Amino acid sequence: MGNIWAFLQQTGAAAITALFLLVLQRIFLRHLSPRWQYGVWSVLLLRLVVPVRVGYRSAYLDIAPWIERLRTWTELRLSSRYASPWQETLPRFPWPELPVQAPASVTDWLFVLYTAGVVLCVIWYGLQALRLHLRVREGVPVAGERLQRMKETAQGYGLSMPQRVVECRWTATPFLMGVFRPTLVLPMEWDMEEKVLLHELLHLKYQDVLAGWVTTLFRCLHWCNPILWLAFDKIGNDRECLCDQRVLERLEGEERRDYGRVLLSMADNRSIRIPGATTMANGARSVAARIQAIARFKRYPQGMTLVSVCITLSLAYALVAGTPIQALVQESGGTVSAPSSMAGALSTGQLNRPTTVAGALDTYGKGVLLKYDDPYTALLCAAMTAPEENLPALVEEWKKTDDFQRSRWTTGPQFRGLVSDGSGGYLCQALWYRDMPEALLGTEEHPLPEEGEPWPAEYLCHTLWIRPDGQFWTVACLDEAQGDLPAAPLSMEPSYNVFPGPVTWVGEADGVKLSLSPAQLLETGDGILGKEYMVDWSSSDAGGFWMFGDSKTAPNKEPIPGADFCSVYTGTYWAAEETGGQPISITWMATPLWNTPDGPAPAQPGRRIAAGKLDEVVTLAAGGSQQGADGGGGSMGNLGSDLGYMLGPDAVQVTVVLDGRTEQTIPMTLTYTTPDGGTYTLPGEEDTP
Amino acid sequence: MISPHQLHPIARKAFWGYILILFNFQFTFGDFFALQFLPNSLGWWMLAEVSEAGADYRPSLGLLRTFCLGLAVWNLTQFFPWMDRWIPGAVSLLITLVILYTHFQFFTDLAALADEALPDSGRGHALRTARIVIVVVSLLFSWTDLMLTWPYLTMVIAAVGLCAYTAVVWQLWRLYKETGAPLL
Repeated sequence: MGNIWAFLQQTGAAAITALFLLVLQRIFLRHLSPRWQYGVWSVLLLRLVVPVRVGYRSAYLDIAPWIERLRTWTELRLSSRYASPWQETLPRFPWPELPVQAPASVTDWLFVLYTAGVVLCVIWYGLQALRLHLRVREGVPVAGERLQRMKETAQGYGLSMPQRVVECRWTATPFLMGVFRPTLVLPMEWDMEEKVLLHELLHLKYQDVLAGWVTTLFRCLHWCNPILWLAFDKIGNDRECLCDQRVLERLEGEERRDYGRVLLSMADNRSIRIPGATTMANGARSVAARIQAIARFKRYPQGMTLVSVCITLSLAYALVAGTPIQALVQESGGTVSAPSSMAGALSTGQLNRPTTVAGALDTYGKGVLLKYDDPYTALLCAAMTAPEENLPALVEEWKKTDDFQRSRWTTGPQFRGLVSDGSGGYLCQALWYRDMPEALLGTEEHPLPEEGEPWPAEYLCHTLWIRPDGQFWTVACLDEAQGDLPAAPLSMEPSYNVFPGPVTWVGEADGVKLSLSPAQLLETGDGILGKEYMVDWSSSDAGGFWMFGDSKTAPNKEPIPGADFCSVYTGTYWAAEETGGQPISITWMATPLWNTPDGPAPAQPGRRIAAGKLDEVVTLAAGGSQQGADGGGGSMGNLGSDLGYMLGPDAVQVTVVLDGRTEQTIPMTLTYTTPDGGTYTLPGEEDTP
Repeated sequence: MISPHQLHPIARKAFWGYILILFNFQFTFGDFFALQFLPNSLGWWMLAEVSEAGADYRPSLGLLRTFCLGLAVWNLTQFFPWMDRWIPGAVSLLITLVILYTHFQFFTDLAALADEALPDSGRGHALRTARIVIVVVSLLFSWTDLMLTWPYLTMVIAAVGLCAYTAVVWQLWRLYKETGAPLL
């Protein structure tokens, strides 16, 4: 726990668990044995030890989203050193990590106060225990006949004796203390009561002193949580009740009633509330509850252990282990909804980051598309996908109000040219479209389309770098470009967007320059949103139906962090340029290659669909050039999570025949390209390879 | 001491109660309504009656009546699937635990009654085995993690669960038939 929010997560989750267990104990008070009543607190112990949301799992009664929202809301207004509004603050350990920097905000000071409280509590309880130890050391050891009687009693019940038995003038009731050197402390000249002795010996047998110390440790860690203090008191009382049950199981008939009478006589004795000491007299109210428990005493049926263990396991699973958040999101339709507040959207995003590459692209793409229509979902998407260091700038960008008409994109996202970056990440283009406004048409460059001709479209293209971050994926935008197309390729027609993909292989031989770029088209989740806004789509036969035949359900606009790709269409962009000053005829063939353990190799049949072999015959005039995009089929529907199936090649092998001469293979060099023909550099790489 | 003749109506209701609780056939009308052909509510209601009838012989059986009635009311939500979305996780967890305990205690008491009414028949032992099966299977079904993470394992658990439930109902049927045998 490195800040006050992490502490609140841990202590809040523990308090909720404690309250639930108290309710449960009440329901099963007359049904389950004192063993279960005490044993069920092991669930609280687990909750206190296991950090909240460990392993990206969410337990029942999960309050993490609320605390995270409060944290984001508060920290946006502060400049804390221990906490940040841009990063989730879940505890890593169940204890506080000592701050190394000076506090800079209210929340930092609160954490310092909490940590100081823990230290003071530890010192306080330590001093109490030391004082008790010193006082007991001055006690008079019991010896002779009295000690012998005690030994006989212990032997009679098959119990071991503590290492020391002493008498002290200042104590009114017997008690047991010490973990490593257990000591039984008796009142001076105490008239030995066998049942009380039995009670203390049973505490010794079941290591209850140690259990008391464990509770004390958590009292210190959660010193400011009254609900947990109540629960710790209840644990102490339940421990005594269980000890009573164990005593009663060893007694018969009238002896049991005698035990009740002895206990009743102790109701007036002051309880000893010192850590590391157990005592039979634990206050009048507790003694009353224990008398009631004794009145309910019964021997529980065989098999009670089974049901007790089953119930405790169920509780531990539900309240501590929890369910993977990814599975919970899938169960609820796979989408994440944005709360209508900035803090809510940011914190929800940080808690629901994408777990698949397609999920990261889906989330990023929807964020850009919905910036004006649904700003909070857009912010949620940014918080889900952006690397932590980019978030402040993104939020500032989000707050700006641009020219709505010129900045809004109606349709998308579509993805293009997904390839590996060679170091565990991926590069890809994301595209959004809108119809070209009629006011811009009617020029020589953009004539008004005739009847039956497609309507020109404008596109926005982000070149994206998708990087792993633990078990999640982040998305960074490396380049932004805009342009126009003869039509938006919504029906997965690659020949419309004829421009380079995120990487291009370039090679040159005898006055000819060839460029090849992966340009397969991909859709994620439920497919492209906003198709109905495009003239071509809404006026076509397909316009009345959504892609997968469901005419009523529109694609989900909420991000799907665990999405898979739902369609892929093969595509390769190519360009040929004459550089030697002579007209030339070129026949060339390109074979895409993917990295394998044995080096780059063509795809096995059916394993890769993003790109196929390319055969072209091109005739170029002197200084002339040609370009195009070829594609051939694809898949749609449930494509599974095999990313390799959608991935563009890692290399390409090109053979050319120039003017009918001998075939030759030309070396191809990788460049990072933008749609307008420019280049970019990957962060951290000084030069383009 | 209970006689087979006295146990017979208890066993009959327990058998039919568990048929209704453990097996489900329903016809759903979208998210709004699900017509239950074997309504759990009725099953729990019958077990509540068994608890009341058996309380004279086993006081711990009488303590289950409140739980059974509560579960009968709770299971009315099965008719309205849309209500699932509004039920807090803590309540579902509480109900799961109460069901787990009720199954356990019900079979424990029924086994004890069977031992009294049909000594040396082995029926009590069989019911105690059925008790272990039903508690363990109910526990596995409550671990949604398994269902979400390993769908194939879910299929196995479901198959084992069906067999286990059939075995449990078979034991109750045997008890019902054996207590109904003519007294010589």
